[in-house]
Amino acid sequence: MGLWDIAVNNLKRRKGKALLIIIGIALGIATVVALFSLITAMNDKVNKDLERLGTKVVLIPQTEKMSLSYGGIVVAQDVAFDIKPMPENVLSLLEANAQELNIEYILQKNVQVVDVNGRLNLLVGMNINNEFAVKPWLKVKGSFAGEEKQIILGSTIARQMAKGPGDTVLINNQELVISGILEETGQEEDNIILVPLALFEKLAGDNRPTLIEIYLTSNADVGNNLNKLRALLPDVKVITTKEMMEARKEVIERFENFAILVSVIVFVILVLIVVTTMLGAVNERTKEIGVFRAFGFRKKDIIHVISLEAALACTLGGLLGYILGIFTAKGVAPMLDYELSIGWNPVLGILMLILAIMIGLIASWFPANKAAELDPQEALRYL
Amino acid sequence: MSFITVNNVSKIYEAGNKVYALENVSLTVDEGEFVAIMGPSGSGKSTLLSILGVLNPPTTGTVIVDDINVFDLSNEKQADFRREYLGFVFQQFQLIPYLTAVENVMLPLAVTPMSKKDKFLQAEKALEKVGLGQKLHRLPHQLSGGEQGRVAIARAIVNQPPIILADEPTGSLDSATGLEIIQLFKELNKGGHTILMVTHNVENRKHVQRTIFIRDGKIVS
Repeated sequence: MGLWDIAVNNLKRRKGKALLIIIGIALGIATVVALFSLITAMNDKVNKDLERLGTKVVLIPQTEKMSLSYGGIVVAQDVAFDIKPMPENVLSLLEANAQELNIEYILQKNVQVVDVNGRLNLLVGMNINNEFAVKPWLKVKGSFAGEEKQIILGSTIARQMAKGPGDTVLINNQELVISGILEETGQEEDNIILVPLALFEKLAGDNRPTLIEIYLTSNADVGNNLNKLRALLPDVKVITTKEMMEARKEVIERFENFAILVSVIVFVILVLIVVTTMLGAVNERTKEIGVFRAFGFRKKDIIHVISLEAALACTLGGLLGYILGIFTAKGVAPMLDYELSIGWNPVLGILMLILAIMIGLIASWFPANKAAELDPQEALRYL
Repeated sequence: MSFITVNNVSKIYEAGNKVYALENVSLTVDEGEFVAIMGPSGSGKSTLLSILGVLNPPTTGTVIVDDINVFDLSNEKQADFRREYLGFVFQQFQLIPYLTAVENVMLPLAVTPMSKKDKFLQAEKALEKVGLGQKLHRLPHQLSGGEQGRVAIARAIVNQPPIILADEPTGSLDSATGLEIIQLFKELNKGGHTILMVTHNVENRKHVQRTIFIRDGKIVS
């Protein structure tokens, strides 16, 4: 029988109050755990994708653009004229220097406006398998076997034409089978028709690349490689586009700040819950504390008992909260647009336990000191 | 030199007017005495007991126990003093409801540097002494009033303090059970404990060696 037994027995006896603390802490910690587990999983996913994809660079033919205006009125903007075709040796030059330039993927894109069932649409020829390997977020309803005369429609076009996999369309008067529909991406892919390069050549009569996307390896020195690329290909415009993943990462960073803010609010609320509950418990136990003092408990012993009770209840709450939080994150993850893997993170678990114990100790400081300062004579008025 | 010396102790409460709960009280108690403190309600007997219990400092005067001027001690040392010298039996016994009989008795040992096993054995011995060796693991609400009184007495003697302070220990009991408790006190007194007992029951006078009467904060006999 020591201070520990007194604390444990009191928690067992005052189950209602102990449960209030345990449930409060568990819900609060679960919120924090779920948020941070999701953020960690999102970060991991984006980092993995970034690591795999590296930096994206787009090569397009040099064009001259100008605005046509007269009398201060802009008649037309970005008017392109003198469109130079992509130099024929670009692909071979890139392939030859791929290692030196830290190039991981080269994606040739041929683009042309075509007549589809009497409407103009953008036809993009590409190596579809490579495209899907680089952009894992692209998902197809239906199947694509890479066969000739098979095409994939962007979701918006499919919706506009009310077509689905297995239907046929007329492109430049050739009948083609829709093998798949791209799931909505919210990106430019929603408005294009994807075809293999060989089919593009047949439909458009041209096999020269309109643009080339290249992906640098993740360890590449981007600035240096861009300079080398520009020197190697003086007739080609080299553009780095803001990587979608980077944008996604920025969103996650904002989400992370939001999670920190939520955690701080949760922390304050939990401290208040524990303070209120413990103060109530101390007031209920005035006589009991008087008995402890009469039997020679020092003030620090009283503080010890009260703090131990709060820390014990909070530890239990923290442990439950961690388990609950991970299961919540596992439940919520599939609802997000990410293939997130939520795992049991022991570091997060330990951190949450420390946080829960800290909440217990901080929140019990005032009630414990109040209990210790109780005049034993006041506490035992009947004596 | 007496074991307990109360010297000119006054306790004044100031609630607008000065109210003397005790006024220049002096008394001595020898080691091994069994003393009853009697008086009407509000006479100051409980205040005197709380001052003797080092729970309530006097406004003036000194209390010396075993050559120690107890109110000169720091707050923490007073706690140590209580643990070493005093055993309390409270009115209605004030057992901790969520602790079993043996755990209640172990309470004064909770902050002493002893092994758990030794604490248990000492508490068991104290409970055997009061005839409750078979009911160690009962919770207070599973015990009769008399048994609760016995647990309270076992708790008061578990750390073998020389002084036992009891406040109306028979107040909530029927006369037969009350007598059992008084007999227990007598046995403890024979064993060397000095006992000071506040009581209303005049019957208890027969069992003590000396009775101090107190009225309006003063000792009258």
